[in-house]
Formats: sequence, C-alpha cells, structure tokens
Amino acid sequence: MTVNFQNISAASQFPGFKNYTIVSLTGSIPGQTLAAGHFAQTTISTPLNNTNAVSQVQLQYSGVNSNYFVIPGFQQYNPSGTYQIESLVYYVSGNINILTLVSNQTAGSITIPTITLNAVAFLFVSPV
Amino acid sequence: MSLTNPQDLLIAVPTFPIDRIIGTTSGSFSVSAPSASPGFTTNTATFVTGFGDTCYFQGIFSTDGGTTWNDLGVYQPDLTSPAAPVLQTVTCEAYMNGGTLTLVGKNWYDLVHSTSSAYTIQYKVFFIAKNTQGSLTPLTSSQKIFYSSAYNFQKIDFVGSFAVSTSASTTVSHNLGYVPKVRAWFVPTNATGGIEGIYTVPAGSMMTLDWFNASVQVNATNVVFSIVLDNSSPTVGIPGTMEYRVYLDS
Repeated sequence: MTVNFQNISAASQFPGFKNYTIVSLTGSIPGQTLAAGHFAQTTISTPLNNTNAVSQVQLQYSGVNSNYFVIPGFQQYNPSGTYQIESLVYYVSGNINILTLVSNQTAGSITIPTITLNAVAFLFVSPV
Repeated sequence: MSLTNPQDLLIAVPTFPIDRIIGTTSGSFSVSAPSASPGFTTNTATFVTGFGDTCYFQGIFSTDGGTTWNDLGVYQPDLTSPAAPVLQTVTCEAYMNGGTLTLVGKNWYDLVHSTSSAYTIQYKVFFIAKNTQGSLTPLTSSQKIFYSSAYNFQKIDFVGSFAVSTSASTTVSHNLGYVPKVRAWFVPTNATGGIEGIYTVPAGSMMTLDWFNASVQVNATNVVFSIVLDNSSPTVGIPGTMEYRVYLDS
C-alpha cells in the first residue's frame, strides 16, 4: 500500500522513538600546563544498558562553552587555536563511557582551563 | 484543555507529530584485518528499501557477536596503553543513496600495539520518513502492534532544512527555554570521503554527521550548526543541505 507521508504526522502503523531512559554524568579535566605534544584525558562512565536502543548524548564543556554538543559518537572541538578537545561516546559492559582528551596543538607549553564535563544520555527503544 | 465529554471522541489525533518509522533491516557482514599499510580496510553491505528515494535512518552495530551494541559511527577506543590511547579501531557507518542503504565497515590498524583483527559486524537499522518524504510503500513488519498510546513517543516541535554555509555556522532559534534533543542529517552537494577519506559516498546521499567534523550545539534558545568539514576540506566547509528535527521534552 502506497502512503503519502506529506499527509501523515502520526499513524498507528508507523511508530516514532519511544522515550526510554535518561542518565546524567559529570566529570572534569583540571586546569593544567601541557607540554608540546602532550594531552590530558578523562573518562566518565555510568551504568546504562543500551541493548536494543539507540541513543543521543548531549555534552557540555563547561568552562569553555556553555552550549551542549549533540555527540554523534565522536566530537572534535577547537575552542582556541592552542588546544583541541575530542570526545568519544561508547557503550561497553553495560556502561556508557565518555572519553575526553584535551591536546596541545602548539609547539610549546600551554595552560588549559578547568573543563567540567556535564553529559546527559537519552535512550530510545529500537523497533528492531 | 480538559475533555468535557469523552463520549464524543472516537480517537484523538496527536497534537504533535512523531517520527514515522517506515521500515527496519538487520544483518551482518565482515571486514578483514588491515595491514600496517595502508592501515585500514573497508567493506560494505547494502539493502534496497524499494522506496525509490532517500529517507532518514538510525542504527546500531555490534562487533562482538551481539554482546555490545553502539550507535552507527561510534569507535570504541583501546585504552590498554593509557599514554597512547587508540581512538580509531573499528566502526560501522551508513548512508542512503536513492532507495539503497549502504553500510560501511571501517577497520583500522593499531599502530600502538602493531595488531589488527578481522570483525563480523552485525547491524540493525531503521528508516524514518524524512521531512519531504512523499509517497512510498513502507516495509512490512512482523509486529502486530507498532504504535500504542501507552508509549511515550518523542514529539517533534518543528523540522527544517537549510543550505549549509561553507564559512560560518548557522543558528536556528527554538525558544523552548530548555535544551531540547535534536537530530540532523546532511546531504552533500558533491561526493565526499567524510573526515577520514577512506571511502567515498556519492553526492546527494543522506548521511549522518558521524561521517564528518561537524557539530550541533544546543542551548535553551538556539541550535547552532557548524560548518561541515571532510578530508578534502579540513578547514573550509563543504556545501550541502542540513535537514533537522527539534523535539519537545516529554
């Protein structure tokens, strides 16, 4: 049966994303001096069973940006020309993990500010 | 608004639209172990939807036989050597070109530990009617009941699209007073290898942002879409169309 989706906003045959659960995580990378070629890292983690679920993670780098980044698995952010922030979101062993690295992008020493990580993870039941 | 006479209601149409899932698919394929040079291998699997058109999609994949699942585009890092974390390991990404979904497995050589492995990638993908979806025949489902008012479905506040600037970010106001959830998909004007440049996706394909160096930043008032960078243009954005949805909290 052909259906014209311009005419349908919701229908019993076509589900949307079922809101499932929400968790919050927080952590920080302390302000520090990084030598050339060096980086600082931290992993924040909490139990979250994502079996048969898709997720969306919002991550804030408080101290450098008040916005929340919608993380598509990997996020690279350059708040200045001297350092780069990278975050990976992944699930393993029943936990959600967010690895964040702050790397020196210069040929000399730099000082990075304290970066507080505030994350919210949403799970949606997969229909498959 | 209270219901003063429920006996007059046979059915209540939702006030806010929801995402309409128009089909699902699952399967598996393998990606071989890479050697140190060129340092990666790729392999693909395809699924023809029969829609004759692109649509949105989301999915999950597993490389350990279904024990661990991650969203498409995720890399699970190897942190066994803390001083040298391995960020690029193995992942599965996807795109739609016309009515065909292509899953792309990417497997990287571990330069830190001088190792590599072959993987069997299991995937589950579901297709979502896009903002401009016209007429198509949805995929059949074995489930008898898909939609139930007992489920709390995500409700769409509004949708939109715009031609992505190659030089400046684009701000979309939502004025919800809180940080909403947002989904976005990108349609490149030209063929692109994504930020990694090891697999070329045809122009006009529907892609998720994990392929690129791009960001979606959200606050209580706005959604800010960055320029989109790929391997051909690591500092200047590439042209294309961003399609997005902003959801209500519920």
